[in-house]
Amino acid sequence: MRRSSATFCLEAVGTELGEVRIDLAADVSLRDVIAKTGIRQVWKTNRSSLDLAEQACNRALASAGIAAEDIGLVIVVTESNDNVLPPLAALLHNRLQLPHAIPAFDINQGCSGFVQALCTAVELVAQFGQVLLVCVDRYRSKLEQTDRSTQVVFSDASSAVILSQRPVQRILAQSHLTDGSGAKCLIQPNDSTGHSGYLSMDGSKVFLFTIQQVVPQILGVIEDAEISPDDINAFYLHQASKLVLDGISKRLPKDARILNEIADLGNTVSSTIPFLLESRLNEFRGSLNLMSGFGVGLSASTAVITPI
Amino acid sequence: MNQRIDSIESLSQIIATALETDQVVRTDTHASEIEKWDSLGHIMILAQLDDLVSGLLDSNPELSAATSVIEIWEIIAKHRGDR
Repeated sequence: MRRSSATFCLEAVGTELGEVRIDLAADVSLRDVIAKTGIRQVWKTNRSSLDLAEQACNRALASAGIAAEDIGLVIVVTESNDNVLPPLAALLHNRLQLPHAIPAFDINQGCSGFVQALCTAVELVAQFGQVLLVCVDRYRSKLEQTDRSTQVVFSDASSAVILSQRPVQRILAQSHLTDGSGAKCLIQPNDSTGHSGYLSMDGSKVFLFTIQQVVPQILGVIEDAEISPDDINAFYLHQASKLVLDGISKRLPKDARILNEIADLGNTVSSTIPFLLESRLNEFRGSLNLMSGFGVGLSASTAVITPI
Repeated sequence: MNQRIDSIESLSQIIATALETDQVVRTDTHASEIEKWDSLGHIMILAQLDDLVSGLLDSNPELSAATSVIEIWEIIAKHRGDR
């Protein structure tokens, strides 16, 4: 377990979905699948990751009432960079006309990426000032047309949060795990010429990873924080699918408030937790909450965040 | 339907129900024989078993690679024997 004394405030959240709605419920043959995954519709974009991310950033900046020139650090979590290089953060930095004298870098991470990046960013707020933390992915362009296990789950989306130095919140406890032996469970491989293949997911291995590795991590962080599950206002869990959320829920106290907004959004990869935060920001800042992201790597990150 | 797994025959029925397939799932059926027993279907089976066999998913990682009724039955039997 890692403890942190760093304080911060999650000032604002902005999100953007792909512009093309795919109505899964319109396909009668998917009725049984929808009942299990809990996902009625998914979203696809024909825009670049840069364009998608820019929209979320503009919304977050407007919501926070913060000017672009006041951002001190940009972190972009993505597995859908428009180019192999440079980092998407550099292009986004230019698009938003941010100050030159700031660092901007990418984190190549999936569904655990938001929590990993948030825990990293919190430690950097004191040094760099206001942090723009962006998540963007366009998984739908990576999917094989005939792979129903991914086609009925993933959405294209972006999100942006702004962290400030205001001493409003802190991370009470956090835990991170990486198990590269499971890397092939969720992978988009390159061939020898550098061309990418389709995304491949061994769903059952990832599902068992959440039961066998993520649940103990969540319970361990609660113990490390020296709190009771009853003290937690809400569980902000990665919205993988209803099957996964149900699998975790069964192992938490019955009255645990586990947020679920997957039906109309789909699995937006690293943006699922920011989407949950967007409509609950005041509540989030004023209460004790747990967030947990897990997936590609395999990896998982969990944090308990408390108001000061 | 009986929701207890007290025989490999009952497991076959539960797998068929989890997959919501019209195909017949026999005790010797392999995943490759059932159209809906793909990656997503396998998760549906595991989720169903999670409701019926206490602790099964928490301690048996080999379930993810079990691609036949017999293999799953053997893991359940071993799990029950271990407890």
